[in-house]
Amino acid sequence: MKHLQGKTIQTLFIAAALAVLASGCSEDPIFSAVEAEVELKDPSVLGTVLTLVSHDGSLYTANGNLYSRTGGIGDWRKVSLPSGASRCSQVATTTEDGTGSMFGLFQNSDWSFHSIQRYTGTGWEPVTGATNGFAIKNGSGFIFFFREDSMDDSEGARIIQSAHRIAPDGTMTEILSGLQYYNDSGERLLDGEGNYLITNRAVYTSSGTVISNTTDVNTSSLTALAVNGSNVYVANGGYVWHYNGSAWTRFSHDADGPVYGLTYMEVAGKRLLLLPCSEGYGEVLLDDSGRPEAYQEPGKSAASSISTSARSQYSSTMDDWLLLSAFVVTDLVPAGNDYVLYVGVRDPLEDGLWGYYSETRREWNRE
Amino acid sequence: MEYSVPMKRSIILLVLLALAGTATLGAQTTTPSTSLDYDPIRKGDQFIHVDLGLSVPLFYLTPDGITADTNLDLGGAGRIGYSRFITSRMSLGGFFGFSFNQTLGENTYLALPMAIRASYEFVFNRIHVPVSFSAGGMYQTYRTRNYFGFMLKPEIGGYYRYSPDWSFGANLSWDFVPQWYDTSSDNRVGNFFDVMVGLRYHF
Repeated sequence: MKHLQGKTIQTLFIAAALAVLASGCSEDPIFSAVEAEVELKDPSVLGTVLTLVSHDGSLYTANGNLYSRTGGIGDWRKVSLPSGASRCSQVATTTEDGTGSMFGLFQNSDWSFHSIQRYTGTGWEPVTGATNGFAIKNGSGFIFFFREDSMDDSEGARIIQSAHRIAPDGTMTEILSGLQYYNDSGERLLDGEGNYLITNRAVYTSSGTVISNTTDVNTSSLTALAVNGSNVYVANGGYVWHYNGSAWTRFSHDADGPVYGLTYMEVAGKRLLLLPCSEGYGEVLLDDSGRPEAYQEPGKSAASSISTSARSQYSSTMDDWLLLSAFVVTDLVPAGNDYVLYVGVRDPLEDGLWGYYSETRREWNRE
Repeated sequence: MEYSVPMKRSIILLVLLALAGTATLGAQTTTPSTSLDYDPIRKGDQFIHVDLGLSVPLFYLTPDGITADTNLDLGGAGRIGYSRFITSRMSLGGFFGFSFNQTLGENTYLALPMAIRASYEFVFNRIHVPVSFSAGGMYQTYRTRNYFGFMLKPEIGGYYRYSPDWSFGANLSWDFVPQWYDTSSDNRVGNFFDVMVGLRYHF
């Protein structure tokens, strides 16, 4: 130890200090974010949450298991799956007001396709002819059913897909077929809602007619769709396009990274789009005609989906996480609330379903 | 060779006289006087210290005042450092350390301080009481966020000098950890109280 010279130790200190300084800093605050934290509830719906629907007086969501929440209050309870099915990855309804039929997309234990089945209230009825499905979406009097017709691994995953409508009685009608996706190019199915569906490069009606008849929309790697009556919104990582039934307009947004969903929200004097993305979600405020007019982060103004007082707590939670989905529930909510927001978080530690209650719990917490 | 009895007696007597004379001469030799002044610390002494203990979050200073609800739990802290005495009581050195606290939202706040330290050491026999002041930087991380800022740390310790090489004891310190941002409402000064036990190796 005697030979340990002060100069050597000095050098070690300086080198370590430089290494730490070189690692950089973020602009997001730490102590004020910790100060805004809330005590987290025990999670009830973990994992990947892509869908949440209202059906027959209850909310339903799926993460592999299927859960229901009667009246939108109380605990989330597991619902039995059809015989032979191991997982329920998605749910969809034929109308979004809760009066339509609800279908589930079921998988085997190896996550391969099992079946599409309609919920009868006490059990399940399989849809005949529905095979190899990878997604179901809420429609208008039907559900969208996206099918993978073939995938050739030997050629670098050439994927051929088709889109279908499934009516409440289980009859299936083809909308699009032969969509090919190969080596990150081509066309693939992404989202559907109401009377519209999108691929990565076009917007279609539920009868298969292209309405995105502008180069701008058709070449823009679309990722998400939202529909409100005749207003159609589609988004990618940089823009939201609005179609008012006759013309397209483009609006630039600042949501971080890829946009994984698009949700229309109109309640309590607020009218906006929610854009779940790789860092929380962004908000696009809409004017009275439904046209995008401003972008903001949640809690920035009274027009936001959350209270301005909840902004700090949002920043200390959601803002750091990738959000896969966002849902606005206005009918099945606990007393005293105008609406409840649910989001599907994808995070190594915090993934699952989180909720925000407009009046009774103005903070994000696990469901 | 044979000695006669009277001869033998004479030889024994001479030897005894000689021994007696030597002893007398030895007793008359004077020992030079010496004085030994024990100096517990000398200029140039060095030591390495290792400390482990608890990090107690106290409060934040905010633009609006003091917030006692830090949302941080009791955590752990530790450090390793080096010091050299530039006088018989004052030392200069530095340390690297860590501290961590669990948050209310089930996250972890981790801090990695590094600082230079000046100390004055009071000595009461084998008990040494260093009073120190450290200033340096602290790398902090929380979730995906990180921050590097300066820190100040006054402290007092008590160590027992177990041997010339080793001493052990404890110290108490107060950490001031400012975080400043473009948005002034996010500014905070974290205040932490550290209680640590430690070992010092002297060389």
